Amino acid sequence: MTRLVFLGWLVLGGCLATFGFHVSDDVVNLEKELRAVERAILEEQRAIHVMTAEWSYLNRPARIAELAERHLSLAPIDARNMVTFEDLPNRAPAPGSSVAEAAPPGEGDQP
Amino acid sequence: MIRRRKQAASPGQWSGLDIQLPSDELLRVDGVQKETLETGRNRLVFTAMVFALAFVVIALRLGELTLLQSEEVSRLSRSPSPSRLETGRADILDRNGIVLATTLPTVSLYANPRHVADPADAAQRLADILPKISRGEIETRLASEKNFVWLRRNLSPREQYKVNRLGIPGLYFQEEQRRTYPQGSIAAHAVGFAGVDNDGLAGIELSLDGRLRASADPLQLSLDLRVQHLLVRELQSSMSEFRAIGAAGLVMDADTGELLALASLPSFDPDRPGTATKDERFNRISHGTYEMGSVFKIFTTAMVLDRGLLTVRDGFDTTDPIRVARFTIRDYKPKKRWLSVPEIFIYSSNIGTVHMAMEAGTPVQREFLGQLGLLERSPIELEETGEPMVPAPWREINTMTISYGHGLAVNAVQLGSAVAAVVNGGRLVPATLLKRQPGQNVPEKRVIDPQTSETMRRLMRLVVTHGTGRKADAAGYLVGGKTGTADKLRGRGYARDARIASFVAAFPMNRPRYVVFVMLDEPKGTKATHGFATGGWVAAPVVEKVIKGMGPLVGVEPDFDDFEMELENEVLLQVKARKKGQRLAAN
Repeated sequence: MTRLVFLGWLVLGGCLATFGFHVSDDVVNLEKELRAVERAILEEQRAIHVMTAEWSYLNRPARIAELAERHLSLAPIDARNMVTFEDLPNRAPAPGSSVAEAAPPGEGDQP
Repeated sequence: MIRRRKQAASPGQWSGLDIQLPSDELLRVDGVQKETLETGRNRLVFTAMVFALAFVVIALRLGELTLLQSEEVSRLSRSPSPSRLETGRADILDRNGIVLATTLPTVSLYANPRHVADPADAAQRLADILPKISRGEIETRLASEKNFVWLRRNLSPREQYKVNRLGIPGLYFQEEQRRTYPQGSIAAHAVGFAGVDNDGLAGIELSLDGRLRASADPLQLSLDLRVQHLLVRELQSSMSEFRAIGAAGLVMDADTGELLALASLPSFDPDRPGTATKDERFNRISHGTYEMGSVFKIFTTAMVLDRGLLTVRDGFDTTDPIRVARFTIRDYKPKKRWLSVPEIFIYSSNIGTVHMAMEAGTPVQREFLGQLGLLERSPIELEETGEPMVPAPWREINTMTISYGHGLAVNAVQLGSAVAAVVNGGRLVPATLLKRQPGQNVPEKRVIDPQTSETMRRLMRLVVTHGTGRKADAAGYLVGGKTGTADKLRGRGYARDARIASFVAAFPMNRPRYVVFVMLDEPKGTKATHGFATGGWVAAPVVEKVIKGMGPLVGVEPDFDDFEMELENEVLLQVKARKKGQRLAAN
């Protein structure tokens, strides 16, 4: 009886030892993987960091202004061109008609 | 047990273990052996219990750590490797998150000449891809007998790639960190620059050096790069138009004291501070202190109105110049008649302003300017902050000249704060270059009554609609302001030909949100300005362009309502009614 109990404990101990070994082995592997991932993250962060600086450099207002002047037919907005929503003329398109027909210049139409 | 103890107490027991002893003795020995065994067993049990207890404690602790405090502990056990990029110095951003200063990893190229097989060929190929260094120079270095020669510091990633692609043995890279300023010279005086060892040497880089080193979190400034660009661009064009030796300007949030733009020209490239001249590095906007001229009339007028010494219906005769000691105080464009307080302000009459200041007297003026923070160092976060030059002793003649902005030199930032306090309802808020978080408690001090502030806003609006500041009127933004033209000090006297022309404005005047200040150093008149180089001619147009440009960017809604008509009714028409037969201030 005692022997049987002893054997039982031995098997249990062995199982636990094997299980413990596997867990610790997994941890080692996972840590290795974690380090690799962290290294990769750091590498990405470095790349993003450099690209943020480059993005800022490419977005210098003077450069943007020059590009806009060269490629766009836009002009700085004048205060008189800004109106509130209430100032807009009413638009009630008749069913079936196009929007252009449905919006004749009304009373509320302002520059 | 008792018996055993008795036996144990009897003498000679441990001569025992001998087998030749008589039987009764043997019995006793047997008892002793048994006792020894018993003791051993007891000790074993005791030890086993101690061990068992220890294991139970460990088990309990294990259970506690894994089941009860698992989160806390797993945080402790996290691997020590850095999870974020460490550059050793935090980035500096503008208020919208655009990078103004950053630390970039760079590589420098060096060579071990002993490992380079064919220096001539290597030099040729390197010279093709690396500009700024000649083939001959590379070859001389590669042909040397040393183990180590620098070929080029701080390569761009593209250059590094090209060098790598050449595949020349004996070339190596050294990783380094380098502070870079992607936006260049545009905000050089505010941001400052760092030296080769990445230590701050000027601007925010210097004054907040400790903060930038201590935390990797980016530091967000109050600057708005778009507004900064507008200001710099307009200052630059005005500076070249009027051949000024320098220019400076600022845009300040009237409620929070945040500086949206802070410019000083001529500027320099913070990536190459070594190539900048002393004049370029000098910060005119916060370090330079100047006698600001007529913009000080804002404070004189606010003082007499706030202290109840005069009302907008009072006035003075400005026909005769004022003679004090060896000085004569004249008007730039004399009206030679009685002027009301609003008229004195709108036409910028020195004589009238001096009379107003004399109503208050020296102690009141000193106390009032002190309250506005014009007599002490401005709290802005820059080491390059000029202390005001306060006259000592403060005589009556000083009171007179200070009333129209001569005899007290201040820097532009504290002037901006004081003007903000006058127009924002009377609260003085410390100027700052750091972004204030929404909801953050802003320290403020009441300096004038909201009612006085209201009147001053109307008066400043009238300067732009009817007075000396007409060129600052950006349509729709209800600009109000005050011109200033001050002769520069040269030696012990004033120079007639060297001036500081300035304009300080706030908008929109029905509820001011921003204060704009512009200053030109020694502008010269042109044909278009009929030879004039005063604040109204050279500085006011800059303000107009800046406000026109920034209005839509910062979300100020244009307003074409008849705010002015209301002003005239309240301020000017009353004057007209009282002084029948006199010309109205309105043209």
